[in-house]
Amino acid sequence: MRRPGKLSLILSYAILVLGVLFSLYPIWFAFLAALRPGGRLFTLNLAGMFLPTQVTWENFRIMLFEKPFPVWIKNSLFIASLTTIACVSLSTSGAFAFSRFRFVGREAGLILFLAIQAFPGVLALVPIALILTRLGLYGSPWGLILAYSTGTLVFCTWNLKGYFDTIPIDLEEAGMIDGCGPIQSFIRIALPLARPALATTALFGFMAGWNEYVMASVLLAGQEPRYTLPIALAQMANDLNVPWGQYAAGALLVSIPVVLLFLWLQKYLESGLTMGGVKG
Amino acid sequence: MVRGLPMVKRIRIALVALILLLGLAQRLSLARSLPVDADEPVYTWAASYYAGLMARGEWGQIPQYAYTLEHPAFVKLLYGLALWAVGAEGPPDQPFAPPQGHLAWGDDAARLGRLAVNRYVSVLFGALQVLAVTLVNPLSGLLLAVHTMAAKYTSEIYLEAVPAFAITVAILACGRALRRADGRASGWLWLSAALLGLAAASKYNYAAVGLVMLPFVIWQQRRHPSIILLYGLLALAVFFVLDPTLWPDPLGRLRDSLFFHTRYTQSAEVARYDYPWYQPLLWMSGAGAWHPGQFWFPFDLLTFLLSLVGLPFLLRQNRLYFAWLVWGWLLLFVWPTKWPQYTLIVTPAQCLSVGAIAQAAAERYRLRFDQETWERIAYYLPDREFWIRPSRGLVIAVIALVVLYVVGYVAVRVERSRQTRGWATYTAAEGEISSDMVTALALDGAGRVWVGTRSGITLFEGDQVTFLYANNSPLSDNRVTALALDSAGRMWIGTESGVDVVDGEEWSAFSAADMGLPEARVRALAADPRGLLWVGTRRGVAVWDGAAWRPFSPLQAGLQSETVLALTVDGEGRVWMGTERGLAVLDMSGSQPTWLTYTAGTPGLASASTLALVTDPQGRVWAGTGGGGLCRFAQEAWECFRTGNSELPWNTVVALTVDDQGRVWSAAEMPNQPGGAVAAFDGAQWQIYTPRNSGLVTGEVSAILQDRQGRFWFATGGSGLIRFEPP
Repeated sequence: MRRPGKLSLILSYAILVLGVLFSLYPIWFAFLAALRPGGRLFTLNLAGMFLPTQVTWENFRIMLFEKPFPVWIKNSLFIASLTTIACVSLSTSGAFAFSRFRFVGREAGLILFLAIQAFPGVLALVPIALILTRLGLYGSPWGLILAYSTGTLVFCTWNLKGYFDTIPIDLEEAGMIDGCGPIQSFIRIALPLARPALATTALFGFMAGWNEYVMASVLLAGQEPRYTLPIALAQMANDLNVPWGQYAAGALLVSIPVVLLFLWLQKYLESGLTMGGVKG
Repeated sequence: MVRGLPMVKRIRIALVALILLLGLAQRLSLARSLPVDADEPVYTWAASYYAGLMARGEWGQIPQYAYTLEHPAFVKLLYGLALWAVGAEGPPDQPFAPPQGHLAWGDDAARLGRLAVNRYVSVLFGALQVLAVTLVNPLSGLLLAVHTMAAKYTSEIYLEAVPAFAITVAILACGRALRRADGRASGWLWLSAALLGLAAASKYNYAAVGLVMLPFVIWQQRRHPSIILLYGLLALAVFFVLDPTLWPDPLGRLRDSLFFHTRYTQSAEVARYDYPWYQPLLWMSGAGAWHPGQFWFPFDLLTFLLSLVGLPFLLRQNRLYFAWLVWGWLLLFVWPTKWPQYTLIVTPAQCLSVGAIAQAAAERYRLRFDQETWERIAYYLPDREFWIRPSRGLVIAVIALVVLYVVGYVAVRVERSRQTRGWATYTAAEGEISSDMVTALALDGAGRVWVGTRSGITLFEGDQVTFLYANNSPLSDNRVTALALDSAGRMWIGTESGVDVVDGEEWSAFSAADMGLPEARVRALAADPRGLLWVGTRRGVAVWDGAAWRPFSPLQAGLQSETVLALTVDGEGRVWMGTERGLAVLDMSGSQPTWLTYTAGTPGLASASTLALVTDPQGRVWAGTGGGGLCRFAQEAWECFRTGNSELPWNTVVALTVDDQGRVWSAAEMPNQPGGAVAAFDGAQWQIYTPRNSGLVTGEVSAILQDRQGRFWFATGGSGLIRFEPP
């Protein structure tokens, strides 16, 4: 294979560096805004738009210790964790069934999943709210968990199904010869091999429950003690004033658990995403 | 102790501890947050009266106190003991709660104050009840721990917690005693009798449901009638001993107490609610709808439905518990009064019925807390290698973040407590001030602090507080807007309908007609060292010279606007009048009064809208402006301190005062949203007080005063009165 020339290498790296700067700058901008005193989003000092020329930790102090941040994070963690558990447990077993078994309605089911995935989630908000009201779960975190889980289930099932398709069935057949039943071959053989995909599913499930704002703001309307982080941050703004510094500090703090989860699962994420996307 | 136990027992202990903790935490959370419920004021009054009797050593009066005689006294006495311990006693001459109540249904939980200790007494017995049921069946205990109706009424100052605990343990102990194959009486049987008596001494309906034990006891001890008799006598003896209200006249008092209930069922109050016979079924949906967001697991309805499914299992496993559930339901349907708290007589039995399903399943599938069961379950679980373990660095990072947060929290709390030292807030909700909308402050010759509000005047004299209203004093209008003390020691009170003057015990009132003004909605008062009293209103200014009023209006030269918001007299005797359109200065030292005006465009004056005026000991006038900051007039020139050239937090200054050290205190407000700060300026240094760095609960201060003890008083427009004692 021909080695790329110096010029094309420099060009490639320059484009990559620019791309990285372009993606990282919003986060850096938020960090600068969080450190800037006076709650200002912008500054007339050009250097201040790239470097921290004025530093105060007041915004972080207010968000962590004056706002009910622990309550918000507890609510978000509760909803996101249960959404993750529900997604992983339901989609794993469903994906295994779609991958391994042949039954009536299998193909139709897969196509139906695809159709549901294409449907805009926001349009489904009103029917979801009606259903939850009938179930007595409107305004309750359980209703939100149900909504998030069902919304994320489709993608997770597809992704896992694709991953299970890549696992040779011979392994399970060998286990069955040794006395494994279907459930044991699923738990003891297929699941451990599907760890990368499970990690991806867990991360998607967590982010679905952690970052989502529209559904949470509608389904938890008026329930201030149950507000999740996105709703709590949004309600800090009013018609006359937006505390940009506190917003930025809150946004950075909100991203910490997702970053930690990513660090925990990073070893498996890449293979989970790519392998699951191979087969349809 | 736990370490030496087998794994199975350790797991069981951990499970019991977790369920107990859950029940305790839920009840504590409710005790702190639930608003005052309907009967809480009544029982707290009775308890505080008992506490007073105990504190004064009048123990002999306790049996004579017959308030709420329809209920036995034991729980009320227990509450009284708790209040005595914390020093909360009721007035000795008021055995019955006042009609309007010191507390009302729906009041914030904070209004309970020290009385709230009895909520924690309820919580204690509610948690003990959870523990008792958990020891019998962990699933039942878990359901009871989170049951919303049970949690609610065992975290409020009702009579439910103690008898619910007593009757639960009584029936459980009786069940234990009945299991003896030899049929001999055991300690459990006598415990059951004693607790039945305790339940009866706490609330009758729990004793009524406890009677379900009698047929079982009689059947077991049918060959030993003396045991049966002793059982009954023990229960009765405990009942009598623990209910002192029966002592003066046992049969008479008992008859009155029981017959009260039969009369009450026909009363107008019960008829008003007109609950149907099946109302207890509707209470089964729980209390979640009454207090949204307060209950962690509102599964009452599910518990009730499952308890119906569990009935055949319960009958097979324990007939006493089955009878408890059925008898309890019968009582609930038959008894005419259908209050929701009555359902607590069957709640533990319902939970045990659900637990019976789990127990049957465990027996069917041989699930026990043992190694063999664990191995059978583990057979279907993934291996240990399946789980994705976080790296050590990640674990350290998470722990470090948590530790950092905890350390930061502690540091912030410590700093906050240091910043709020010396600050106190008086609010109308606590009965410390007549209204939270405080408009004016003044100090009289005797050192009393006069606090003018939208609902009368509050006088602070040491620890004494006096409320002056139009209906209990000569005050002409409760809507007080300004206060001033003149050179003769008379207190002038500006209101929305004129001016009152208090000279010792004598009051006089002046209306708009007296002052010669079209209306007399007073906005400012200023006392002149020459003995004059200046009144600024929405329709001009008037001055009292001791004998007559002289009005000034914008038709005369000088005043830019009819509405005069601020007044002060400078060191040269000139009267400064602040309006929204400018400042007018009236000099009456010459033969003719002369006017000087400062409007927008005056050099050095950033804004002519004047909201506050004060004269410092050097005779200089300070003006608080709307958007122009704090301005000082000295040597015929204006100098303004604004956000751009000083540490003044905002440019709208609404209140001013000068302290004994010559520092100018100003209240600055945010221009177009709630909030503000107080700034103290000594000519060189600024000291800023905000709700974030001090005990100032709100930044919107409408008046500032320093008293003779050097304390500062801040009037707010909705958060009451704040007092600051500098270190």
